[in-house]
Amino acid sequence: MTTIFTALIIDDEEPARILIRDYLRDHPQIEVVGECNDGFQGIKAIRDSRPDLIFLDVQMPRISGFEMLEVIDETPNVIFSTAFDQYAIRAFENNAVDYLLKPYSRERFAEAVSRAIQKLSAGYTADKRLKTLNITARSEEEYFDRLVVRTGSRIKVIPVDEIELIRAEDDYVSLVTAQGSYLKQITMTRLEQSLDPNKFVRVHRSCIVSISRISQIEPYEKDSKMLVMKSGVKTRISRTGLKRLHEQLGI
Amino acid sequence: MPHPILNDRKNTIIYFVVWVLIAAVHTLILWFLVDITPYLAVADSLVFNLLFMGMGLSVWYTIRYSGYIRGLITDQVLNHILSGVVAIGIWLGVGYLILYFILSEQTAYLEFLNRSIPARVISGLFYYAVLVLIYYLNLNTQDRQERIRNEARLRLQVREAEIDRLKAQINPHFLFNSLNSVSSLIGDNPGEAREMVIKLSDFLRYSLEYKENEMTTLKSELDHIKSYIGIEKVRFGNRMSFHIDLQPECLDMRLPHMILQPLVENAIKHGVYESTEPVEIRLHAACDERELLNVTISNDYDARVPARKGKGIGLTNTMHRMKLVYNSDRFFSVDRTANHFTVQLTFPQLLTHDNNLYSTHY
Repeated sequence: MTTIFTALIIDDEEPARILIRDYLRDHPQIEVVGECNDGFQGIKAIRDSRPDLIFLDVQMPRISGFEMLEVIDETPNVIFSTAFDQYAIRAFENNAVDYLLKPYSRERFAEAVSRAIQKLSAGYTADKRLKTLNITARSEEEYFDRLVVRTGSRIKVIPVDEIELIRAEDDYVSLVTAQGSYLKQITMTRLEQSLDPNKFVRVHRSCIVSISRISQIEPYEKDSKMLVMKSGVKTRISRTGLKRLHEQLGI
Repeated sequence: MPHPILNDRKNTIIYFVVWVLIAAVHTLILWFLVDITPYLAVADSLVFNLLFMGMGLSVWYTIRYSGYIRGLITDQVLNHILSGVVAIGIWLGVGYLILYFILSEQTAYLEFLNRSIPARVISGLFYYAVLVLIYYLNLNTQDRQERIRNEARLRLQVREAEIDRLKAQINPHFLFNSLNSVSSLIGDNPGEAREMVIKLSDFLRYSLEYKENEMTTLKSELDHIKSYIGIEKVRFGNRMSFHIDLQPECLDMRLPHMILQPLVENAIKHGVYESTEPVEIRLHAACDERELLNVTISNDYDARVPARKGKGIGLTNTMHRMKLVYNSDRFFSVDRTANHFTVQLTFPQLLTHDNNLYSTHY
């Protein structure tokens, strides 16, 4: 008896979902358990129905497919179905089961599905690197203008302009805003590289601050300095951090 | 610019070999024609020719720098005669002193040395002139090569700019998603698929016709927008609605070609692409006394979504174009409220009877 695998289609354009459903008629081994218009619905549906496989678009309203992958607990195997530019896609070619560049043929689709069935039958779980695609598939000159975090079951989109500072907390970082702080699973270095260096500067191994929210620099102990933010929050500056700050502020 | 002799191994060798030959000839002349002992002839030849060989290399710098001064030709010639005289003076002076000291006992030779100065001045001038000529030729070729390189680079830049412009007009993301919709409709609803292909063709044709400084009528701009909206409507269904409201007498008023579509595209990009709720886009056109055409494009957007900065092509480009065309920045304004975005454009009709009149502003 052949196993039936469950799949979810996440795409904000109806014709694109219809097409996938249509192509899937050739593959009775895949059972579609749901369709979602956006990443928020996707997160909920993945939690509820735990599909084996998702067909995922990248550009969608409110949160992108990559951002969605960042915040879900258990990542299913993914076939990207996207018009996302070819160059960027090369970076994550190996992490997904497959990627389909819109528009794609029935044959190309069948190839991707049989690859997925092969992996699923062999009991492969999704590549961990899928969770960091939002960072790795980012193009050099584009910086994040928002970050997606999850608190309990709530998903929140935080514009980077609202972030005052970011502190390292073990495997997580804490994003501090006026409304409160949020934990996100990402390394400081990766986050630092994805933020606009004209807006954020890493002043310490464990701290990145928003340049526009700096109030002043105070002396602290004999060799080190303390940074005072406009909100009154203080944070240590390391020697390299001070150098970077000077470079960025041009002083 | 690199030194033509020192920076090229082959030229360095040639230069050296030529001087060795000259030195050899010089020695032979002194030995056989002037009847000077071989030892003295070699010393004389080595001192003077080695000196000139060294000095000759530095002549390049005077050429290189005076070559950049685009002065009168007579000034340049005068300049060279002057530096030639100075160079030869130094050359003879130094050579003379060296020989005078190392061969102070050879009175017969020293007498010859004194007598030979006029001949040496002439040969020095000759060497100098030949060197200057060679350097000038080289400067000329280097100049020309650089010009060719520059031209090639410039052509490449122009082509890249052209490609960027086309890319900006036809967003590949839009194009491929639309084609994917067509692919889906072919199975599902072939009639609508055909409609979509036609709209897409109309859209592409109009976009490709685009010339930066051409005027068109409001009617053809609106037709273009309608085919664009038609395509997006297939992709997004009832997630978007589009309303045009206008006075019919505005339809033949004139405005720059392809000025409105990027703004509607912008409205869709920030409204529809980023919202899970239905988004309404409105275009309003009004005109007064046939002198001004006012167009307003507005959309609501999801205030919960932080503004995704596009590449700013839509708004900034339009602003620049409006400024170029009408020579003023009064005719373009943007208004953003909590969940509403409005762009307002005014197109004066006076200037635009002649299609290319405003191109003089460039």
